[in-house]
Amino acid sequence: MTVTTNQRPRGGYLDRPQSSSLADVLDIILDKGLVIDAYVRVSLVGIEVLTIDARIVIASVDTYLRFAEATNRLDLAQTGGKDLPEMIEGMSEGGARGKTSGALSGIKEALTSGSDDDEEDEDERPARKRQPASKSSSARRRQRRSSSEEDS
Amino acid sequence: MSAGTGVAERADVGDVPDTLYYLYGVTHAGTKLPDVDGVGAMRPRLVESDGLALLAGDVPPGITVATRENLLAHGHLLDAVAQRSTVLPMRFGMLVEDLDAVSADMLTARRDEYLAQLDELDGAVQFSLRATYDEDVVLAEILAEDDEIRQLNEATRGAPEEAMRAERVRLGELVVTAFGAKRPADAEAVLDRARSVARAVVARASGAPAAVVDAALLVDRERADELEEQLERLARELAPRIRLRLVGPQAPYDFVAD
Repeated sequence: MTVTTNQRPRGGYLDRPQSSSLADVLDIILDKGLVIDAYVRVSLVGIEVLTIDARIVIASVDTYLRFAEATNRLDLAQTGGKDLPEMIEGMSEGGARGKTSGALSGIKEALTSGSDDDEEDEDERPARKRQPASKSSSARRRQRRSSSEEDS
Repeated sequence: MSAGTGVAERADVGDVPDTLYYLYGVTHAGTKLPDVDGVGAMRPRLVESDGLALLAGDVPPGITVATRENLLAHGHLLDAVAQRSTVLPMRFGMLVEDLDAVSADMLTARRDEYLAQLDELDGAVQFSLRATYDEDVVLAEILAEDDEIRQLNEATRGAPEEAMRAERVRLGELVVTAFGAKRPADAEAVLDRARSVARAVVARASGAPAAVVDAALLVDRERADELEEQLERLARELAPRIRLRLVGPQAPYDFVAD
């Protein structure tokens, strides 16, 4: 296998996307960067709450159950028997990759596009738009919270 | 987060003007802008004041800012600017009604601060590096190392889905903890390599069990290729346990002070 750094994103071991996905930018541009308080007319409350929710979900009973399932599924005879070079070939182009990173970005994408939909139904001005978004996000939060209370 | 809430409350008060402007960041006056649209599919421009400039754009009346398209547009525009110029990116969602007033207030009042930050970041871009465990490989490792996990796995394996819920939760919790125990050493190895090329490295918080480390790297533009080569080499060394994903160049979000 010939690997050159110009030959991206495929061919190398480093995952090197040409442009950033929503999951790549979401954490950064909602949490980082200069802020001004005065004059701002738009609210992102809906989106902010949703990304916090996504983080809470990570450390939940659901996560534990998912890892229990993954452990149960693991075929020890197969995985344990392989040596490293074989494993590398086996995992090329993501088989397992989709599972983890996909799960997290899946949550985020669902949440973000969900809040899009809520807001696109409204045709009014930004200041009034947040209301449906934050309403729906707190509804979602309630749902999630109650289900995790049952769990624990 | 608290800033966002305060803003929300304010927005409920008073009437909303028809014309709004979206703010992307602060840069030097005269910065050459890329051929890229921003939020609301509108072309951004510079509002200059005494050597500094707000990177701002008109937005259509009644725009819904918080959409997937606009999130991506904000990020892509600032990253495109950062390819060649130094820009202090603003957080997503800064919408203002009076550009001249904001320009006067921000650029005048905080001029020294912004100039110092631009100077400090001169010549550098940000990259985001994410290292993730390959779940199956590391799970096999964990099973081999931990008796309790192995026993719980054998006990719950093949049992009907609803059965042994407490044991399953315990198994998952132990596995997640075991990932956490491996993380510091692996994260440090990745950060060490990043530090060998980067001007500065900031590790971000990440709660995902299979995450090793998520870091922002401030890198000299001339060393971007070197960074990629180093990380390609590291990715080869760490395979198949750990995968590396490198995104950038980006605007230096993680290296601007609030």
